[in-house]
Amino acid sequence: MFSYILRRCIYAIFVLLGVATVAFFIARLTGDPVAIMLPPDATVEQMNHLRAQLGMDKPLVVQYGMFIWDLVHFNMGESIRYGEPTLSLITERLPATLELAGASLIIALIVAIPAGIISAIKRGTWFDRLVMSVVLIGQSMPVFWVGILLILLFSVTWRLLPTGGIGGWEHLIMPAFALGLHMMALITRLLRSSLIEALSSDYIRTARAKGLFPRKVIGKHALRNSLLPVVTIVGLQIGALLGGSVVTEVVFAWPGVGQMIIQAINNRDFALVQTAIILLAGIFVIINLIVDLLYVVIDPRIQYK
Amino acid sequence: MISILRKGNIGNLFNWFSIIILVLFAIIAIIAPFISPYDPNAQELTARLKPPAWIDGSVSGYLLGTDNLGRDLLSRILYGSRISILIGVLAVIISGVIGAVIGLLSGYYRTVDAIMMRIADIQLAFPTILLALAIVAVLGGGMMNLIIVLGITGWVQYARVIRSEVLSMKSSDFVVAARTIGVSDGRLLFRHILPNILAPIITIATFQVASTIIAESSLSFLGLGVPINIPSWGNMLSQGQLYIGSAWWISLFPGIAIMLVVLAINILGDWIRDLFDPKSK
Amino acid sequence: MKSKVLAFFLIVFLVLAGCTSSKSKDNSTASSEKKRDSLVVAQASDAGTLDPQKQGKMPDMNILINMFDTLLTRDENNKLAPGLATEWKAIDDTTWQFKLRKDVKFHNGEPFNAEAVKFSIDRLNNPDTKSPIVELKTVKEVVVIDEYTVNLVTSASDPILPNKTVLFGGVMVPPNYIKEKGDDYFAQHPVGTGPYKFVSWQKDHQVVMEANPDYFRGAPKMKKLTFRVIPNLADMVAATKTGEVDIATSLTPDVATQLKSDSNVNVISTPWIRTFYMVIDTTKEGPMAKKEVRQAMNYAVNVKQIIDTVLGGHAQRVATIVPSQNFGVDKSIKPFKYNIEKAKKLLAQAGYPDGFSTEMDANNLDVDIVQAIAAELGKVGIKVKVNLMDGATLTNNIAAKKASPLYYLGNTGWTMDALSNFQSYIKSDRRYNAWKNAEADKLVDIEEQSIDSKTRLDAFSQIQKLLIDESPYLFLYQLDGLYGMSKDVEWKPNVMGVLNMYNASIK
Repeated sequence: MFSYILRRCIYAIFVLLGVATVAFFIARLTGDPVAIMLPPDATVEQMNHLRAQLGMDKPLVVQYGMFIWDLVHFNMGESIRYGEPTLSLITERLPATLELAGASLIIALIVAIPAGIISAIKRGTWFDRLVMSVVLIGQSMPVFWVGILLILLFSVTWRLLPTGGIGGWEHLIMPAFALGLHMMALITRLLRSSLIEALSSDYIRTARAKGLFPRKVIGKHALRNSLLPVVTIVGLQIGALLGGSVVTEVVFAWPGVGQMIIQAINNRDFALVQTAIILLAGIFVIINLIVDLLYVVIDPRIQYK
Repeated sequence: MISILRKGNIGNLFNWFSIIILVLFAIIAIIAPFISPYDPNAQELTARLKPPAWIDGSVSGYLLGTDNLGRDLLSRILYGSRISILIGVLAVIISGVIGAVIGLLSGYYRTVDAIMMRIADIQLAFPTILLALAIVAVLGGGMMNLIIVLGITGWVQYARVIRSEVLSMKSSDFVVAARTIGVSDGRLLFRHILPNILAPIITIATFQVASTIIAESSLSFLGLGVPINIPSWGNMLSQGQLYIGSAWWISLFPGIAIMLVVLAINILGDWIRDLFDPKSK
Repeated sequence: MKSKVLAFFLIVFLVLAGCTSSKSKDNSTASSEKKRDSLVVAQASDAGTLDPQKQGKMPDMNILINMFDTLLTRDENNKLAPGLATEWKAIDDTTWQFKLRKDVKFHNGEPFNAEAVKFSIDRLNNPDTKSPIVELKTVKEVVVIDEYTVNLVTSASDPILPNKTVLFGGVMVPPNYIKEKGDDYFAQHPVGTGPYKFVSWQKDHQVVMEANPDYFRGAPKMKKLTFRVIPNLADMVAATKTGEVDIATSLTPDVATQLKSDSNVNVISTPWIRTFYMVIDTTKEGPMAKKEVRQAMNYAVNVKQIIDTVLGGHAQRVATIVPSQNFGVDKSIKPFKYNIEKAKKLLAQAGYPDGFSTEMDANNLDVDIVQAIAAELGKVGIKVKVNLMDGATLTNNIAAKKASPLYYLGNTGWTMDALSNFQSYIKSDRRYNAWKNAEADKLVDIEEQSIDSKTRLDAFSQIQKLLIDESPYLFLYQLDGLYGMSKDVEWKPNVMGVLNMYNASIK
C-alpha cells in the first residue's frame, strides 16, 4: 500500500512535468505577446527591445530549458501584463475560485445524493419522474444562459440578490447554483442508474432473499457498489468545475482564477497561462490520487500492490 | 431495431417524445435549405430586432422575429440544427472511439495502463478552453478544428469509467472462467468484456452529445467557438444573451432548441441503456 | 424516508431564503447611503497594475487618472490645459519647458516639484521599469532648472510632446515614497496627487478610493469612489438597472438601446475619438492594388445607413482616418458619398465589371458591423468572406503580415494630434503599413519633425487629400462614447473616453 502511494506520487510529478511541457509549447505556438502588449504606435525597435528583455529572442529550446530550470526552483516567472510573479497573482485569486467550486460541489451533492437514491428506490413513481425531468432540463441549458436568466429573475425583476461580484453569501448563491447545476444532474442520474443496476444484481437479490431489511441492503451493499462510478465522476468533475468556473466567473463578475485565465489568454500572457495550468493540474492530480485510493476503500475487489 | 422497440416500454410518452424530437431535428437538419424562408445570413437592416409574429410590432414574414442585424431567426435556427447536431455527433464519435479503445486496453493490460493513464491525467489537467484556443491559434479558427478540440478533450471520461469497470470485471467469475478455458485476450476484450460495458459507454455518450452541444455554446460565449458568423445555436444564444432584457426572442428560441435536443438525447440514452441492460429490467 | 427528505429540502430552501431576504435589506440601506456620497463606476476589465508607469491600457488609466495627475490636461473644448504644469513652451527644436504648480502635495505629504518630474520621467524611460508606455521615449534628458521649472530635452524634435503628457506618460509619481517602499509596494498601495486616495484593491473585483480633502483643485464632491469590474455586458446592464452601478461604461449601441427603456437610467451618448476603418492591403497583386477598385469600395458602402441601423446612430461619419476633434483634421475634405452606380462604373474601369472575391478579417466583437459592410460590398459584386477571430489572434495576424486583404481596425489617437492616427500606418516602413506611397512618406516626415503648427497643418491636409484619392482604406466613422448613468448622477464624459470622475456628483 505504501509503495503504491509512493509510486503514485512519482507518477504525479511526471504528469505535472508533462503538463508543464505541453503548456509551454502551446503557449509559444499561440502567438507573439509583444505585438499585443505594445500600443499600435510602437516602433519595431521598441518591440525588439521588449522581446529581448523578456528573453523571447532566444531559440525555443533554450527558452524551454530556462523554463524548466526555473520551474524546478519554483520560480514561475513574471506576468507580462501585470508585472508581478505569476504564482502570487494566481494564489491571490485561488481562494475565490475554490470558494465558488466548493460551494457548487456542496450544493450539487446535497441535492443529488438524496435525489438519486430516492429516484432509484421509487423508480417509476411521480417523484422519480419529477426529479428526472428537473434534472434533465437543468442539464440541457448552458451555464451562461442559466446565469443570465438567474440574474434577470433574481436580481433585475425581484431584486433579491446582487447581480454579481464577490461578497457575502448572497453573492455566492447564484453563481454556485449555476456552476453546480450540471454536476448535480450528472450525479443524480448516475447514482440512480447505477443504484438501479446494483439493486437488480444477483447478490442484492440474494441478500433480499436471505431476508435482510431493504434499508440495510441499499445502504451496505447496493449503495457501496454504485458509489464507484459516482466517485469517479466527482473526481473528474472537479476538473470540469474548475474549468466551468471560467464561464461562471465571467457571467457573474466573480474575481477568480477563471476570469484571469481568459484575460491571460487574450493578452497572450505566457507565463501566467503556464502557471495557472500547472497549479490547476496540481490540484487535479492530488484529487485524482485521492479518488484512486478511495477505490481501494470502496471496492475491496480491486487490489494494489 | 424492431426487436429493441418491442422490448421497450411502448407506453412511455417521454421516450416517444424524445424520438419524435430527434427525428424531427434530424430531418430539419437535412432539409434546412429547402424549408428556410430566408438565407440565414441575409440581413435586412431596416427590420432589426423585430419580435415574433404573435407579438405587437412584428413584421410579416418573420415567424420567430429577427435578430440585431435583421436576420430571420427561424431560418437561422433551422440551419443551426445542422451545425450544432453535427458538432455534437462528430465530436462524440471521435472521443468515444479513442476513449473506448484506450479504456479497454488500460483496464486490461498493466503496461498500457501506466502510460495511458498518465496521458489521461495530463489531458484532464488541461482546461478545455486553453486547448481550444491553442488549436484555433495554430490551425486557424473553423468548425472542424472545434470538433477536433471537443473530440480530443472528451475521450478521458470514457477511458476512465471503462477502465474502472474492466478492473472490477476482470476479477469476475465469467472472465476468470473464460481465461481458464483458453480464450485469447483480444477475443475476451472485444467479444466478452466490451458488450458488458456497453451500457456505461452509451450512458456517457448520450451525456456527451448533450454536453458537447452545450460546450460549443459556452466556447461561443467566451469568443472561442465556431466562427461567430456561422449560425450555430451556441453562437445565436451567446450573441442573443446581450439582448435578453429587451429582445428576449433572440436568445430564447435557440436556447429552447438546444434544450429540446439535449433533453431528447438524454431521455433516449436512458431508454437505450435500459434496453441493452437486461439487469436493470 | 420521504418525509425526512422533504423536510431536508424545506430547511435548505428556508436557509437560502433567509440569507436572501436578510441581505436584500442590507442592499437597500446600502444603496440609500450610497446615493449621498459614494459613486460606483463599472468597466469591463480591471487594471493590470496600479503602478501608473507599468500600464499602457485604458482600463488601467481610467482608474489611475482619479488618483494621479498628469502634467497637462484637456479642457471642455479639448484644448490642452494646465494640469500639474501651468505653462509649457518649446524653447528650441528639441526642448520643451514646463512651469509647475507650487501648491501640490502627494497623498503621503511629499511635495510635488521639478525633481518629482525628473524622477517620474527617468523612471518611466528606465529599461528596468519595463514600461509599456512608449510615447515619452523621445525624451533624452530631463533637466531641472529650478524647483518649479523643468526642461524636457528630446533626441529629435517632438512637436506633440505636450499632448503626450495628458495621459499615460504624463502621470507624476512620488520619488521618496517609491525609493523608500519599493516598486512592488507602490503598485499595491499607489500614492499620487489626484482627487482620490487609494483605499483597497481586490483584483478583478473592485478598486475603492476615498476623497482627497487636500486636492489642489479642491476636494471632490463624492466621498467614496469605487471602480467595479463587470466583464459580461449583460451583467453590467443588469447591475445598472438594479442601481448597484451608477455609471456603466464600454457600452455597445445595442446595449445602450436596452438601457434607454429603464426609467432609472440615463443613456449618455457623447463624441469620442475612437475611429474605425477597413484596411485595404494594397501591397499584394490583385484588384486591391488598383486605386479605382479601392475608390469603388468606398462608394459602395452606405456608411450612413450602417451607422443609423447597426450602430443605432451612435457614430459620426469621418472622411479619412482622423477623428474630427484631432489637430490636423481638414474639415474641407468631405467623406465619400454613397453611390452604387459610380462604384460599379469604377469597378468596370478597373477591369472587374462582375466584381471579384476576397476575404476580410475582424474581431469577433465587431461581427455585426463587418457583416453589414461585407453585405454592402456584395451588392456591387465584391464577394467577401468574413473571417472572425478573437482580438489577440487578429493583432497577431496583422503583425505577422498573415491577415486577409481587408481587415477592420480601430484607432484612438488620444494625443489628439493626427500624427498619432497616421503614425503606424501611413509611412512605408511602419508596422501596420499596407500602402506604399513616396509622397505620403515625405509628408509624414514633415508633420512628425516640424514644430511649426502651420507647416504641420499643411502636411496633414495634403496627406488627407492623398488618402481620399488613393483610398488605401475603406473610411468609416468615429464611434460615440456610450454610458449608462443613474438618473441622479451628474458627470460629463470627455472625448478621449477617460473616466475622470473628479467632477462627478449626485444631484
